[in-house]
Amino acid sequence: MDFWNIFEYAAWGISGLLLLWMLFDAVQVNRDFSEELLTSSREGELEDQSEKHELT
Amino acid sequence: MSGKAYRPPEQGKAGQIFDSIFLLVLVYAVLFTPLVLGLTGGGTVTKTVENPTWETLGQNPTMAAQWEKLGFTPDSAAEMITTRFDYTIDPVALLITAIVILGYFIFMIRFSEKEYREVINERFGEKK
Amino acid sequence: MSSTDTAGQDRQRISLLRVLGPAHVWALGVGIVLVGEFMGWNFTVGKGGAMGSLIACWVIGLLYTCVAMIDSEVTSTVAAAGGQYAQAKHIMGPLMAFNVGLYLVMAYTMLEAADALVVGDLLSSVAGEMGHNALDPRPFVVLTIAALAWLNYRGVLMTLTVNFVITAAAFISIVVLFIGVQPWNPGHMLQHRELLTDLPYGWIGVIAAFQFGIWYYLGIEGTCQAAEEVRSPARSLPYGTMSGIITLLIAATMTWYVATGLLPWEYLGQAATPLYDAARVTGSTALQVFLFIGTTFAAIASANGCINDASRAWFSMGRDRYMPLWFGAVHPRYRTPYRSILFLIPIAVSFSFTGLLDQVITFSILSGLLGYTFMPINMWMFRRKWPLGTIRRGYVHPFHPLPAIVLLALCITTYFATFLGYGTQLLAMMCFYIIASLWFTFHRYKYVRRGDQFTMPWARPRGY
Repeated sequence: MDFWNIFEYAAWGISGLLLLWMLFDAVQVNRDFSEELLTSSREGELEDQSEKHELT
Repeated sequence: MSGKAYRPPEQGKAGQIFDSIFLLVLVYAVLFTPLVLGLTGGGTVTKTVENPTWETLGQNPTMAAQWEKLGFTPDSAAEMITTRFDYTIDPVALLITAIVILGYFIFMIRFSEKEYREVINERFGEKK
Repeated sequence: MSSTDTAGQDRQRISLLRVLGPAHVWALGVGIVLVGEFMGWNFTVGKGGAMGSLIACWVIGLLYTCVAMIDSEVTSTVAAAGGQYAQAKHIMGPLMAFNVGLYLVMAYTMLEAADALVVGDLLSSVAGEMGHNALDPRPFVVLTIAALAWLNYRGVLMTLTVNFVITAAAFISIVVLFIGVQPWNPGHMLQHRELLTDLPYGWIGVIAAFQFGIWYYLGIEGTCQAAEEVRSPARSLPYGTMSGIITLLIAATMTWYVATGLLPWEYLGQAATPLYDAARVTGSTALQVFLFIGTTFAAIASANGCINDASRAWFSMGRDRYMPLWFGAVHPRYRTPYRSILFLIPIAVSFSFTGLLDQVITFSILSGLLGYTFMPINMWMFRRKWPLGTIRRGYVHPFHPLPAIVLLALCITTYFATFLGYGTQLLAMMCFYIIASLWFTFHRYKYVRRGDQFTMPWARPRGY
């Protein structure tokens, strides 16, 4: 059991924590917000605000 | 906008999950499996050299010195040095590959075109 | 619920955040690609020898110049997350768009897998040198992907700011290595005279090398994925892409020069971390440490950008119902396509675990290549359906249709290059896209709203 072994376990551990955090957060968001709000972004929107495509 | 726009069915939870799983299965079955089974990869041939030395492996003294700095001996480097790609072309395989790629693009462009006309007609109204 | 599209105008909406500047675009483009100088490009040497690799580097550089010209014109006009996917949707049609979206996702996810694989390999080779044999690379593969996914999940500004810093550091490490081997003093460290050989396979090897020549630049076109998050896409995107290509051409030439002057080509052609190995044979510990950091940073920056791009493309397809709508969700606090980010993690991890670097790279290259084949066809249709002057273009590229013709010819050559040596994989990849296309045409497309796919405020295309 040298430094590198500890390193391996630490890497497994931290990755596990990060993945769990993301899963947990995703589940929480699913619970707290309506599906309608979450999927409300539309492709054209930014175009209306910031780009003008009329012929100048 | 056209009045008789196509109303797609809403896809339920189960359907969405099924479609996601289908895509995962497709990735694993078509791409991952041949990789793990070793069906793909460099078409190479390896020549065996008995009792290799740097000279018989065709390495000059400078090359030999660099190999040694990398931690190789003639024995451990022999396989790396003698492995060569096999570029003999199998005309049948080449033809099949060409037809598959070409067919794929033709199929895709034709279907896209058909679907695109629907999109344009619905977005801008039927052409007079 | 979402069939109330027109009524939805006054409903509360969340979208991606528009926070990025040109430096972020450069970091996204170059960040993804620069890792190609630290690993992967050297497989060109394996396929065609050292001189073959240099020729491939230049010829494929020409291919990418065409890509940049064509892409700049279309992107500066169609600026939407999903990049080429949104272009295909507006110009060629749904099935093509679905395929282009998949190319993007596969190219970036496989590249991400290759990056993580290299981080793991590098750590186990360092551990080996320090006397610990058989370090398991897998925990580090998972850690790399998990940590970067987490960063991406938490917000785009932080993600790409981090990318800017580590990409710049990685680029500096190439420059340091180049200066460190004293290129003004040939024969001292660099041994081109002794190490360069004739073309080992003749000219067919040079053509075969085109396959991995793509790797010198693959992903630079990913800059347009950020279109919905850049403050002024029509200006930032072409500018970021062009400055990115210049950075890469410089880096690629330096990399080739240093590596071929230090390593025998047979080794170089199969190495997992060629620049780190080059630093190793200089005998300088400082250079070795520098290149260790450079390689790691480059791989991390690349994987980071790939997660960003792949998830944006997947998200855009979900939003249009090309994929289950569920993936079209934006995180209400972090404003990221969080479900797409999560979904792609297991694919990247499992391909990384195979350890087959050249093959994972080949999947990425083929998906990229299919995307480049789409570009010239797309360009022709774009100019035909909306001739110059009918809509406002941010940038108009010169000499049309010459770049399109050159690009198409180079793409066909590169398919042939891949056929040489990696033919089975080429067919596997084609099978994947054919099955996916059939699935889309006969099953998935029924969930897609027809007219809503066209979101640009353009005139009706000519001839329709």
